Amino acid sequence: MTEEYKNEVVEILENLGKQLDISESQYNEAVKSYEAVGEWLSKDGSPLYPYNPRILPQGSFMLGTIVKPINDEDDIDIDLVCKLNGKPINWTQKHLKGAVGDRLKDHSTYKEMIEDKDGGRRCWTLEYSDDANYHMDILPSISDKNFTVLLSESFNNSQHIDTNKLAIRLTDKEEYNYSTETNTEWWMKSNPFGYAKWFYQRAIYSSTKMFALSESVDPVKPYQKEKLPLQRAIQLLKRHRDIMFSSDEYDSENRPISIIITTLAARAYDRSENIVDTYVNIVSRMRDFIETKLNPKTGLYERWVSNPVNDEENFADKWSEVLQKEEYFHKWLDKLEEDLETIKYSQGVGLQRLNESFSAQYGDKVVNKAFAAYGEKNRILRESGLRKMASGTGILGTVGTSVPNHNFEGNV
Amino acid sequence: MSSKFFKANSKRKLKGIPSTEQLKRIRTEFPEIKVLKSGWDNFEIVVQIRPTAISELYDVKIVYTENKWVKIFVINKTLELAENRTKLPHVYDSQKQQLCLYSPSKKEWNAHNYIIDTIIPWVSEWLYYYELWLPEGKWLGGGHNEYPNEDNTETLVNEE
Repeated sequence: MTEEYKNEVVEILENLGKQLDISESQYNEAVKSYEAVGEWLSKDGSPLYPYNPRILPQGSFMLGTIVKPINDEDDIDIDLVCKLNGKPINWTQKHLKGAVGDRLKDHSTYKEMIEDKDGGRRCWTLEYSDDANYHMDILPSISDKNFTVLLSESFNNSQHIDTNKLAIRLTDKEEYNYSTETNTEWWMKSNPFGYAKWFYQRAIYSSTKMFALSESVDPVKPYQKEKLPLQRAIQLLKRHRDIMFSSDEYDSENRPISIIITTLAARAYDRSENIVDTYVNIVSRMRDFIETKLNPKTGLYERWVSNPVNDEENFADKWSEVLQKEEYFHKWLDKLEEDLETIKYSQGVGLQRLNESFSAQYGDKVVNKAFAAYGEKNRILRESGLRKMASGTGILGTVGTSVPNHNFEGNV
Repeated sequence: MSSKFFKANSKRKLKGIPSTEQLKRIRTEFPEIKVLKSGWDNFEIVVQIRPTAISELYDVKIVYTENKWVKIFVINKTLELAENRTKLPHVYDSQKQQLCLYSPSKKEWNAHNYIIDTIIPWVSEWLYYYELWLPEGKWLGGGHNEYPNEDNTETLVNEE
């Protein structure tokens, strides 16, 4: 790849990444909605009030890797943690789950939004109206009393802090002690904020970008237009998966899950500073980070994608139960490797051919929009006298003599 | 002396840049050009242009007659059309693949401009926006509206 070629592909992929983002208004709308939920739960008069409940985003919404659904009508999935600082001493998981659900149902609007009145396995789901196009999965949980302090410390101070302290305890209907255990030490542990810290430490590629850490990692942050290369690459990976497994050929139930994609990509990321190198290198190395480990519970060897903040958790635990999941994962990586040839070898093929290949891989709607944004940006550069043409080749860009402004005409 | 391409001020009898001077400057920047014809006040050359590293390579013929006209043709291939279009965008002649790069009425080009600084970068831009036009038939390069009757319903209008 020549530099000239790579830079051009970088521009196009950056634009594609932007098209995969949810819009700023959608983002703000979602934040407003979950803040309102938090407000309702923590209000004076709420039975949960003494435990200072807070709603915090987790998952792709917090990691900046959320991707628009393929169809505009489809819902965006927003994962939230509802965390309480402690609980009444006699509460079991069931009590906590119920208390959060009851408080939600006390609100006339939220009551209507809960379709599954018994709640899910771990979450309460609020279905927002059709034009909002999102639903929220709210995970009731208990955090350390000093959680808020720890969270801000852990992100302001890039030194090692025990991410374990960011762990939360959650409720799970399928746990044997769901309705009996009152000691949260024995509840299931999860650490979405420790994971986020790990993720951002992987994603930030140079010390000059460190300033971004505390901001980007604060769960309550404003919409980010600019993304880190790792975040963009994960968006592309997820969209590629969405398109591939939307085909009838596959049972979409068993497609690769986002947490595995995100974890492997973050591990494989080599801190390249542009999206092309980032993407190509991640895809070529991702497979190497799937381990084989002995599962002490079953005594069998299984494929293992460990949770970076909890070695004992295998994100790929379902692979040994449903073989198709592992098979699909490898099929997907094979297809990705093949499709990345488009990125590597499209020199001289024509922008229209690159558009065609990308459309098949990522969906024509977003790809056409990305190419349009790319063309329009360059028109604006020319209108401002900033577009140049290189001598000898005619290649447009930042090198050579300025392209004077002009108006294309012709016979209609 | 009048042509639709030049609005020379006849009173001042100011002559434009001589043909040899135009050619010399083009050759400095593009040493590889092929000269098909070269007279005292005119020339015909072929320049190879690639608007981006991803783009195809195009042979572009430039026909210049001092103080008369400059005509531009893409000659090495039959340019494809977008599926929803019946002619090329921004051309004088779709069959001949003769490009229209600037607005004569806005006097964006005259005989005192160097071809190398104006026409050639504009050709590269035309080719760039042509490749971007192909997938959907949308022109993103600005200039007059090629599809004025087109609303947003994706219904196509008669472009003849």
